[in-house]
Amino acid sequence: MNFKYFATLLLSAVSGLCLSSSVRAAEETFSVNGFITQGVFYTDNNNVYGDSDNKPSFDFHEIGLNTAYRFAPELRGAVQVMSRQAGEVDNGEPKLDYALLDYRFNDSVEKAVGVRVGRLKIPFGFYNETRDVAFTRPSIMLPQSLYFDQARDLELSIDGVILYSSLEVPGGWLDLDLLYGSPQTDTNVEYAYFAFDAPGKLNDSDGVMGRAIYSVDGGRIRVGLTGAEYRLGYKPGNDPTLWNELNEGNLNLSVLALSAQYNSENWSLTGEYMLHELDWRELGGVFTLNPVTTIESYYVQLQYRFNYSWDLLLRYDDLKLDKDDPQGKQNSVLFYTRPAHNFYAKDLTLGVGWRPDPKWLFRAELHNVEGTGWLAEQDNPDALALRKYWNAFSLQATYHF
Amino acid sequence: MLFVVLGLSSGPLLADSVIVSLDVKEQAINKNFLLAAFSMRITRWPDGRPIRVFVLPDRNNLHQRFVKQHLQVFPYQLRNNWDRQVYTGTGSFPVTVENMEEMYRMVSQTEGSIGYIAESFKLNLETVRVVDEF
Repeated sequence: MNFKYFATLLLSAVSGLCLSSSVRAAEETFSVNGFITQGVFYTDNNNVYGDSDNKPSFDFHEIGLNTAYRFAPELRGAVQVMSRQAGEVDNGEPKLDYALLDYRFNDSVEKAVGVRVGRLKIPFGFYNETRDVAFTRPSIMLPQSLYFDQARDLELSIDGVILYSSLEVPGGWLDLDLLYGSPQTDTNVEYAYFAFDAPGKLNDSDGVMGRAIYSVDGGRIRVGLTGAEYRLGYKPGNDPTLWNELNEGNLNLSVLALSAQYNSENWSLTGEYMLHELDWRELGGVFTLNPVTTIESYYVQLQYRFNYSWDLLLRYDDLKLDKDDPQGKQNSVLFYTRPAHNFYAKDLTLGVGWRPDPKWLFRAELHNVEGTGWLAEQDNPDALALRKYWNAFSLQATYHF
Repeated sequence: MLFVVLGLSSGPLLADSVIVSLDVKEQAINKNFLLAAFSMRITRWPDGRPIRVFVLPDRNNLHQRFVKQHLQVFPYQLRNNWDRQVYTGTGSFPVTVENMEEMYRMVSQTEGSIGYIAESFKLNLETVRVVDEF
């Protein structure tokens, strides 16, 4: 089945559901919600979400449909199915985004504590859990240095368990999430961490992650810390003589991210900083050249809300795929199929959002980028053909209910 | 837009009230509880029964005034919290009612419910209760 036109196919089904969702006012224990997003991308060089180089690419949609049911005051269940088309990175095949049971032992303002099991959204930074839900994003594309789309399957959801709590502390409250589980690893994750589709497979993976967010003064100030350790087991293919074959072993990932936000009535200032260490020592192969690397990422973002309907966004986003090689010069010598600018990216983004109605959101966005560090290999198969300086313009329409 | 501006500037002149259904035991509710309940961050009353939250639409003047004065946050922050919870499967939206008449009717008819009402609205205190805030 070709999922490219899934958006159009589902639209009629979704509009049918909109009508039936009006029953939820009467029955608060059951709810249905969803969204549909279509984007268009145009670049002067390089490809973003499809074939966008000097022509518009409509190869981007996100459709989600979720339902939740409260079995008992303490016990909830929720499921979301998502279809995402994004160039050659995502083919629109519907996937189970989350499916969970949530049992809350304690539900007081001083201390709410519970556990969630099943397929869970990954609590990383401020935006990861709802990265595919357009109206929760400050922009069409999230800052790619931290929320790079390439490794999205790894970042999307995890099959496991989360212990969560919300505690009243001096000045505000503290939200804690502690997660253990088995992340989704597919070919996209190989592209992200190997820059190629390796002959073998990543499987048998697990990870732990913890996040704390301290909200002061009703959330006027929010400060967050996320830490994670992932172990992705690699199993080689059948032909050990291939140039890009690796040893059997683990790719070890560790992540540390700091998040901070200040919210006033009209503007929000947000910044996040991440160190992401990749340890390829067990895998060897082409990575023997640079067995341990630390990615350094940060962004600073200013949102200005004129009123309920209009907002402006200004952001600077910076990615260094090797913190010790900010210009990518050493890495481009080691990995000679990739130019130096493929190891970093500096993205200046200007965006505007318009909500004519609570159910609709339209956004337009301009990216002025130096470097190609986060461009998807799948949409840009020849790294040597990439251009160092490039611009992207995008439009997005979202309907949700 | 004009309405929003007028609504905000006339805010301090009006005292709005938090109302609950008659079966709710709490006589007084502290500000932290109020924010946690309207944020849908907590979902049960101290006696363990579900809290049923009713709100007016985001752009309604009374909603904006209530959120800023009583919850001391901005309406967009509440909306962000609700969206984040609903689209991660970890929480739900409050029930949105269209106007004060519907708010009053729904709170009076729904067990464990909480909502708010403007001072100008004529309440029948035999069907809902106004709670003190501290």
